[in-house]
Amino acid sequence: MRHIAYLALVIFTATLISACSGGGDSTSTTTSTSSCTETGPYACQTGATEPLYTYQWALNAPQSFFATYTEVSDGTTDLKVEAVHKQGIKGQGVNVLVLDDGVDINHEDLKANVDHTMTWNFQTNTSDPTPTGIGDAHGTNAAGIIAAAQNGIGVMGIAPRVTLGAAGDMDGEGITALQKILAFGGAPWSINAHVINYSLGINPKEPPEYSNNSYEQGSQPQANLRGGKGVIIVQSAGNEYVSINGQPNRVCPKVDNRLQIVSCENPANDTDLLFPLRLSIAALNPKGYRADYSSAGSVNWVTGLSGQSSASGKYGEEGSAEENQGPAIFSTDLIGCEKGYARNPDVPGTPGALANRNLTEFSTGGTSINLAKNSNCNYSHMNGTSASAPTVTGVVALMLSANPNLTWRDVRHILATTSRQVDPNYGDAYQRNEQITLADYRFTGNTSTTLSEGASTARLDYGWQTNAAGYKYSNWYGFGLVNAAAAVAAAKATTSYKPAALTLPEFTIFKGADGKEEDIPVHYGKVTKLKEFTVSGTDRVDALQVGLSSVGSAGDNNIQSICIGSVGIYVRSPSGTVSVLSVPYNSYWNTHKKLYEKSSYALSSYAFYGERASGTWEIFAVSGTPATASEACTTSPIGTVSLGYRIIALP
Amino acid sequence: MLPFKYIYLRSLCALFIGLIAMTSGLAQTIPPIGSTLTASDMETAKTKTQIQDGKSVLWVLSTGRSSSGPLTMLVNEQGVVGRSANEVIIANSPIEQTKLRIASYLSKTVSVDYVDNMKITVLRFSAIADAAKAVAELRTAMPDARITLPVVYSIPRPR
Repeated sequence: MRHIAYLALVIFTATLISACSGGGDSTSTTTSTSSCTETGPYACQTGATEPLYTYQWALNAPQSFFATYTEVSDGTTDLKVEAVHKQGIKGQGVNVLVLDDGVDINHEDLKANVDHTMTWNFQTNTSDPTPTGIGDAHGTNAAGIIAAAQNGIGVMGIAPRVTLGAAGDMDGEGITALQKILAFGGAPWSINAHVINYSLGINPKEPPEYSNNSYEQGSQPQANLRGGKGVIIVQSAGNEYVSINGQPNRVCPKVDNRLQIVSCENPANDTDLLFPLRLSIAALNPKGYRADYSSAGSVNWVTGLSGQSSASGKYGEEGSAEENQGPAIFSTDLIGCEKGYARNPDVPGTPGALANRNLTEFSTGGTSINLAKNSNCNYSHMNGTSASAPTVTGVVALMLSANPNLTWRDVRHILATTSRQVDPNYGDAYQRNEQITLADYRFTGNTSTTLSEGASTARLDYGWQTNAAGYKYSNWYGFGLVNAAAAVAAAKATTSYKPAALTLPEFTIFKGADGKEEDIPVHYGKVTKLKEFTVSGTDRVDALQVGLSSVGSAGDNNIQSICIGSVGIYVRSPSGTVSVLSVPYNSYWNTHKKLYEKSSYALSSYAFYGERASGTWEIFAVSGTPATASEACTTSPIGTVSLGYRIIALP
Repeated sequence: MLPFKYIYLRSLCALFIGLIAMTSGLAQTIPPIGSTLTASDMETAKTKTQIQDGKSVLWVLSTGRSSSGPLTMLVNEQGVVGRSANEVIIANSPIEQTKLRIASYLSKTVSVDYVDNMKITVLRFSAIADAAKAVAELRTAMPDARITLPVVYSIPRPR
């Protein structure tokens, strides 16, 4: 209740500020008329000072070029950022580090914000992160979304007065563990980062190893960076809802032979996203719906803005969002028409470029639109959760600019409590609210939310749920679409700060009477309650994590370790909230043989955020039928698993 | 948005792996990181040098060098190909304490990096067998530290 009252206060405050500054509607003005503390030629002015601002729908949808193209835009979905800019809050005093394929630091719209003591290139071992590859424009686009300057040229970043750092070749084939540690706060050039944007990620072909010994857990000191307040790491959730690029032998779940009922990839399979300092960011399109590719899962924190998977026309205005078309996020590109996402179509080494790169006329060198608006090809557009993550990074920078005393916990709490619900009925669409038969994965017509031991049916997605702490959460959108005005208002109103220190408890492993890890049976084609456990005390939940391994031996077919691709893991909290941590028939279904004794696999959920931890928790296996091609899974209707859990508590 | 990037990276990947295979004198190219060996290739792999990391077993497919130092291509029990930079990560341990524990290993390392503010030390060994041996011994000697032998099975991709 206390949280709900707090949320109401924040929204009321944000509404007041928005109303006073005239933001968020079609009658807004460029400049605020009150309480401007910013100085300089662009003081308290919105991005309307920039020539390409009209294409930056994420910053002002109602007045954007795309507002009238109703098939691809609803004309309202944006970040609510203009009200913040009109207060003169533009990221001043905040250091943002972009870890990517590099950033063109000589770009006309970036160079004024670049701090050369915050740059590095792992490919050349120099401080110049400018990439050399023709198509390596990913980091430059991400940087511009956050930090493009307000200077009367090009575009404007969401936080146009941040200090910008960058590292190149983070996606390099030879990147080492040491280099990652250095990049995430362990080097002189990264140690002063306040916010890190990481629009990269992995899609492991096999269930990734994660245990108490995983070195990702050595990242806890990141909570002590930024003068003891903790660095905030913003990461893309992934673009694998529909398919998993480059790994054709991983298939996506089909219900009644239909794809896209649930996400193909689970973002939790990138084990970095199990770490609480990492914010997993989903993507919304300009129509206010999940971008078709945006990976869904219970580790998603909030949603940013990107676009659909295909942009065409002059600027991306053609087509229909229903057909996965529409504008992406306009930003900075590698300088010149010989490289970058915007380039001449005849650049050597880019066969099929026009077809493959979703080019608009704006981004195609030599077209009339390009020559009129982007003749040097210094600007382009990018979609993917790679684009939505920087939109959130930009908002975080605005929050820290408004109140630099916020700890990393304050930042993520404010994001969770000020983000807004979008697409409220997605859980009912396309029969997503129906129970499915577990043995053969078919819709039943039954929309019951019941989850019970021994049942042969279960739901795959519970849509938006309001948990017992009053927070709305969904696997598609996390806590919802970020709202810059509300987040900054909450940041300014914060005077009591949450502790930054982070201690990750060990996983508690269920053990048998003999003191060994318990061999827990899992029935395929059914719901199996694996375990329940009781928690006492006054803790509130940040995250609930489940660890899985096997007591069986690799290659021992008499001990039927579970096929993890067939088994979904659901958890019900003492308050009754059900979270789907993974689905049956997930993307490891046809490739993974069984969970080996010597591997450990972990999942996590933020659906219980803020709930009391005390009471009895239940962990369920919701199991399909193993793939016939799988080895060692098909000879028995029962598999076994070893199980552990941990609750990461709020301070 | 990124098909060209993938093509570009894959080309680099193939070149990179090819170089490793050449330096190790192998007749055939090692499959890319993240790929799975066939059952027959796995049988062949199991005849090669075995590395024990805790309960896990890995087999060395090839050794080589990159611009940053030694690299080892490995395969795990599931048949998935991974890459180690022969690094040992010692986390959650103050640097001064770590220094006391690692002195005897320094002769076999090519580099030692102390990341003081993160309380992390990274040792890089010439040979992965020495790295694995150090991990096993240090886990016993430093029970409060998190000590790992990172093996990469998936390369970060732009999203």
